[in-house]
Amino acid sequence: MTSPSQPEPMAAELGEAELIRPVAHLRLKAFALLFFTLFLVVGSALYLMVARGAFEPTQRLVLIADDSEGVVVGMDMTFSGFPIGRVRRIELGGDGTARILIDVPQKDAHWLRVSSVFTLVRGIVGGTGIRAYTGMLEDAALPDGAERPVLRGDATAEIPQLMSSARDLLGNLNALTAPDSALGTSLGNVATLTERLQGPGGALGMLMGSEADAKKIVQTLDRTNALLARIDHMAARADEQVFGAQGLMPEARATVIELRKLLADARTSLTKVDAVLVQAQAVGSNVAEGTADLGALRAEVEASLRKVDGLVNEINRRWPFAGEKEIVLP
Amino acid sequence: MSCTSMLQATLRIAVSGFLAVLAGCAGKPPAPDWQLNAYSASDRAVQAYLDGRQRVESAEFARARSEIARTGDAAQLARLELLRCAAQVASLDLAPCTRFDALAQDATPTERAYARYLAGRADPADIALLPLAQQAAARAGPEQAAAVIAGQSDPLAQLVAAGARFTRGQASPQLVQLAVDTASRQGWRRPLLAWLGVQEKLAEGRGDEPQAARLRRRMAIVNQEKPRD
Repeated sequence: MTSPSQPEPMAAELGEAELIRPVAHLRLKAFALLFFTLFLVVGSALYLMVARGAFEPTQRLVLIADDSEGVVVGMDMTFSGFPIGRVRRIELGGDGTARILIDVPQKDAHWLRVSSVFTLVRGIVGGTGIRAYTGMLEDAALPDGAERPVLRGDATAEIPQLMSSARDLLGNLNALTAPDSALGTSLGNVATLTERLQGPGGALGMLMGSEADAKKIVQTLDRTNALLARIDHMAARADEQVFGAQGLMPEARATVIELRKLLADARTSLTKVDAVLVQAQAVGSNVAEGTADLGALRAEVEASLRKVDGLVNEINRRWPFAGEKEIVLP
Repeated sequence: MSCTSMLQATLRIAVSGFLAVLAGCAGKPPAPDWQLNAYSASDRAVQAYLDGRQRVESAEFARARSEIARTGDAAQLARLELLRCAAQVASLDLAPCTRFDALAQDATPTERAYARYLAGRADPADIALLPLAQQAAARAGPEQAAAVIAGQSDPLAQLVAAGARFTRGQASPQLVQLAVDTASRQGWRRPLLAWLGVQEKLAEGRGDEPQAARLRRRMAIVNQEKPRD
């Protein structure tokens, strides 16, 4: 225990001896530290000034406003949301207007043109802002020391006007909803209207004015329906008459077929007449037979003619536009 | 209210038009055979008579008569006979209408009035029963008769009216000229010859020999070709 603790007091003695030994070049080092610190302080101050643009070349812009309320020295002028200038001073002009002097760094000055517009916007919530708008970037650059009027947009300035408008509006609403107002009367009319809609006659009665007229309309519609049904029936009948199994078209076809048969009959009859004429040429050879043939032939020809007659009658009967077939005295 | 009546009126017009179209196909029952036969036969008979085809005329009248006889309707038969007499009067054949007289007691008053009119014995009550064309002709004065008759559309009615006036002895030269023109236009040989004869007599009565000769030549042309039955 004692043997390991022996060297410790020895070392401590040695260390203390080391500490109290004078430092070499102490003055120099102290000055170096002092200067270094000073350099840091001055350097950071310079850096800050450079960073804040204190040494940048600027151009002066004077904005003239009738009220500089809310504008403070040091606030930025923004262009598209980026600060491009800073308020240096605010002074009262000779004519009572506020002159806001703004420094615009040369590198940002190209955003401002002679046609630029400057606004001083004061919102209900939040601070005041000065904004620059440049419509045409091709215009000539804004000269140094230019004076421009500033357009004021003050949201709070609108409040009294807004209040009076709201009061008017409320007054109108009151007038509208009053019991004796036009709206109230209209609603009353609507109520009676809906009552009548629910009553007998419904919408028709409402349109026609009286229930009797509405009933007439309903009757007319019923009769029209009946009429349409009858017309349907008639059309069906006409269809059947013209195209049905017993209709005009099939009968006309049948008539034509009959006519063809008839013509064939007539042709055979004529062939027989021909044969008889051949026989007649040989007059005297067989008179008795010839006369008998002629009697049969006449009957046959007459039969054919009767058929033709019947056919003509049939056509006359079917013909849709024939007049009255009665004997009329001239 | 006005809406209702308008709707009804529109419907009525539409439906009546539709019905008129349908009436031809669907309306009346078909005419019976005898009626069609009698009608066509009487039509042909009158035409044949006016054309001077005696044989066809008698055959067709006989046929029409037999078709009507199937019905046993004396009034219809009387009307057919009256039609024949009217054609005769149009041709200035002034023989009495004996076939009608036999049926007269079963004929309607209208037909009896017409028969008296053809015979030149019509009274004002009869005239009211005549067909419209004959009523107008019978009521017209002697001066405007020709104009009234010329305004009628049926040529046979014109000739019948002219013949009826001639029967009563009221035929003016203008009326005779009208009858000649009508018959000539229709190509009715028999009335044309008859009325040309009247015109010739008138010309001779006036002593207008060239006109009479001209009319005779005209009659010769009509007579030149006999009708082919």
